[in-house]
Amino acid sequence: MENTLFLVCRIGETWLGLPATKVEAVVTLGDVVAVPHAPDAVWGLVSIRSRLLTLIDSSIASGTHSDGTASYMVIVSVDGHGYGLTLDEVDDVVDLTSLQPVPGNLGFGWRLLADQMADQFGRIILIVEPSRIIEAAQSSKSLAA
Amino acid sequence: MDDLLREFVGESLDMMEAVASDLVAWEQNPSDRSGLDQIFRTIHTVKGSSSFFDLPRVTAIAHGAEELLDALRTRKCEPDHTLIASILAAFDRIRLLVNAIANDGAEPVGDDADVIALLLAGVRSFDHGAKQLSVPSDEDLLPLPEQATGAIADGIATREVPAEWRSVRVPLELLDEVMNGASDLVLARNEVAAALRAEGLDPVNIAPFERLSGLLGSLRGSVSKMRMVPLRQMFAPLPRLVRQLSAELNKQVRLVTDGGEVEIDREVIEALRDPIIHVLRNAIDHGIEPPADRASIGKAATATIRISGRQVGNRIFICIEDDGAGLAEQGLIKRAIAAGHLTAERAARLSSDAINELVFLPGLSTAEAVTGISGRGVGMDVVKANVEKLGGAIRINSSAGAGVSIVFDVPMTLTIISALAIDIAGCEYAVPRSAVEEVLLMSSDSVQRVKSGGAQMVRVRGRLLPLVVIEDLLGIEPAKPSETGDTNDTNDTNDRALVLCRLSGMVSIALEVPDIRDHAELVIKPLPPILLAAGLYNGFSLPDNGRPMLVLDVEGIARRANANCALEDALESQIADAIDDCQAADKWLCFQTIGSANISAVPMASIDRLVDLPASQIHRAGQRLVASIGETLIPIHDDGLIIPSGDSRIRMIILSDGARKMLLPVRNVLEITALKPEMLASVDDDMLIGLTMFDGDIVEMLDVYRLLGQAAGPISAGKLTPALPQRVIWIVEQNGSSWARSFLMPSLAAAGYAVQFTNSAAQVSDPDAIVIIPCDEAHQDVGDIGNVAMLELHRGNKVRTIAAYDRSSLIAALQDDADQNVVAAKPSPRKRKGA
Repeated sequence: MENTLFLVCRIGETWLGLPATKVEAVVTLGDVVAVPHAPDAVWGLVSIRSRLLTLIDSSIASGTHSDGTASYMVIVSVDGHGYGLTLDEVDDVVDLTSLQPVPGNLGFGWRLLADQMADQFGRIILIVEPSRIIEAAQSSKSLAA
Repeated sequence: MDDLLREFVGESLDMMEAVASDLVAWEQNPSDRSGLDQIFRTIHTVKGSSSFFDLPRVTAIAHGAEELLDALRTRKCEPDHTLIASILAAFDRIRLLVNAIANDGAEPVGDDADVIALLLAGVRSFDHGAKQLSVPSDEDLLPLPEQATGAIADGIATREVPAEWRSVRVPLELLDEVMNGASDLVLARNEVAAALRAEGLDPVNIAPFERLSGLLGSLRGSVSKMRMVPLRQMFAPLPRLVRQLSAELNKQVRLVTDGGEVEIDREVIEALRDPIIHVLRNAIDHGIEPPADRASIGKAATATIRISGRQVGNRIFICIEDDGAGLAEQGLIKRAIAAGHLTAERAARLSSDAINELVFLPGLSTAEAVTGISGRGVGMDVVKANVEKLGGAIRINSSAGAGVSIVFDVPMTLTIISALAIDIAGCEYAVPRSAVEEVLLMSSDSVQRVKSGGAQMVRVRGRLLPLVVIEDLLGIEPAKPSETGDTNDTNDTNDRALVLCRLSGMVSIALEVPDIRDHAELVIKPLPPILLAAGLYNGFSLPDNGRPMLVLDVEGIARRANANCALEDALESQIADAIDDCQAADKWLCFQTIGSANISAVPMASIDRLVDLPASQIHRAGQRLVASIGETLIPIHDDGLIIPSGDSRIRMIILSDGARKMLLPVRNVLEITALKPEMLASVDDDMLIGLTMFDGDIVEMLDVYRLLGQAAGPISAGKLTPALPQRVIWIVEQNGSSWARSFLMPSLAAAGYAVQFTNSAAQVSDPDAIVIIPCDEAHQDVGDIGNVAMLELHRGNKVRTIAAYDRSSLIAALQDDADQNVVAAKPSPRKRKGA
């Protein structure tokens, strides 16, 4: 059976669950070095414990464009590269078992990220694979004119 | 070869041990046949490599064992003690032989008929159908393997493998882990250094810390060495590939490898494997002619492909040469036009080098039909992109009928580069040293900013380069002088630096940067795809200060700054445009030669391109100077040229008449302009066509055809493919004038005509012949040019008058005549009326 533990966190007004096995760490945001001409959703570069990470602005990648400034990031590895995904709030690691498909009227950005969701005591949690966020970030338009 | 053999020994000993235990495992558990395939593959490998090393004894045994194993494998039979024993005996014999090879460097003399007979008897037992029936009885066979093993009749003592031949085989992932660990240690050390500094301590003064740094340095060195593998690892599978491909395509190809001992980063090898296989496939499929065709043109029926590696500094050059037909230039041009990369007019004026470069354009494949071997999917554009991703370059050289050579120029290692750290508004970026040609201050006397048509350029010692201001390119607000405090009083541009960057090919750009911090050895980490997509960076790094640093991709910067300037430097593109221009015929390039204050000019039509040649590529050979460009030697017009030392570069014009090339060193390129001679050269000064005035200076108009004739020598037969079958042209010689011989004849000869001299036009018997008669009196009717000598061009009943210096009109007229002849000659051959 698949692992049912998820890190529940918030981007804008949306709660999402990242598979706990995919999450390496959650840290507070530090210094970010900008990367000119990278896609919009790339916030910049950060170094955490002598590791270089590409910081993805999850609110842009998900099309949320929340105005709240993210203060955390979750560290994930995709295809051997380390990424930080910004988060507005981190709740807890919870066990989510009864997953159901997302409705079709999900916002466009989220539709690219989530196929399933969970209803946790009335709070809807979208189940998101970190690699999907990075894919979405990659297709976010570049700053280049 | 020693290294190769050493590897073979190490590998075979390991393998023999492993397969022996696999074999025994299968015997014990016959249902698990997975090991059997592995054993078969292993023994097949041993057979292959031993035949490569010319070790006939090992090959013969391995062959026998392979046959028996194949039978066991395909007939799905149960393990049989006798058969297993004979295979094990074979393995043991191979081990003994390999041991002997390790000690003596050669295969001992001897006979393995005993072992092989056992194996073949086993195979035969299958051929007879029911194996149980025909297997020789145990009494016959059982003792034999023991005998065979023990006999070693040829006196191969079981000796220890010499220590230096011993090696440990490590999985690649583990090696990567160690490498990453070493890199991370360096980074962690940097963090400690930063933390110490934050505490107000100078790490340099702390002895244990210094010792740690030293140890880390040497650890990193050894780990980098571990990552290095000899090129032969990449070469090893190629002979087989070539054999297979050539068999499929009915071609005969011999592969020669050279330089297999050159060591190169495993990652580079991995990235090069596919491109090199692709190039090999192309060579066999498209380049090499079928054996019959080869024989008919006097080539050896078996083609040779040579793949060689050599190391120059920390660059590796891998060259793949074939002796096939060369690139199908016309096909390439057609496809490039069809793909919209090129207009027909432009194509007509491309130099042959430029035509070869077309191969690298996307969507071009020279294959007439897509075959199963090549010409599908990936093209040379992908190959080029992959090589460039490595920080390498690829060059192609083709000569019709003689073959193609492709050179991969790649860095030896990817992980540690030496770089310039530049500071842009508080962020550090790195520029790889390998791309940096020179660093200057903007305030230097030799740097001059130029603007034209909205383009920013700099002139550096007479060289015009497109200028890219890094802040503009990256869209970063330049740091305000007031923020940096004490730089207030200095002129902003004076502090700035100019980094001249070499792009692939002979092209450079100038990168204006705010400040150069220092040189750094950086551990480069690969970028995630999301950042590669920006096209401006090719890696990142975490230096001492703990601030992530992006490595700028100079090619990418040039591309973004202006797609065209990435391909040609400003002057070159101007020249290319002028060459494109239909008016190029009367455009001349004015320049100053080295060692003379005079201004000289050569016709644009004769210019192939401009190059900046490093002095190291110039050689004095006897009385003449030659330069190596790519894989060819080109003579240099030697006008007392002093070869500078070191790695300084000399700007040269490549002059070409389509068949021959030569280099003309220039000090300074001045202008492209229309020129007409105001004064024709005297007969004695045979390197000049004439003199003219330009901007108040006297300009010497050089006779390129004489120059080429002098420097490059006569056109070698076979090199020149004249546009027409060679035609005879008669020149009527005037008394006492050698002008026709010294000027006209070389021009005509260069254009592919055979020239004959005569005293009178009446002596020419062929009614269709072309006769040129220089006129004694100057004609007046040539517009504003004034008095010039004229030529009369007679052909049949037609007479044309052409200015004597006007070579291009003359050649065009000759060409015209020939073309008309094709149409007109057939219905009614004209009669010559007189001349």
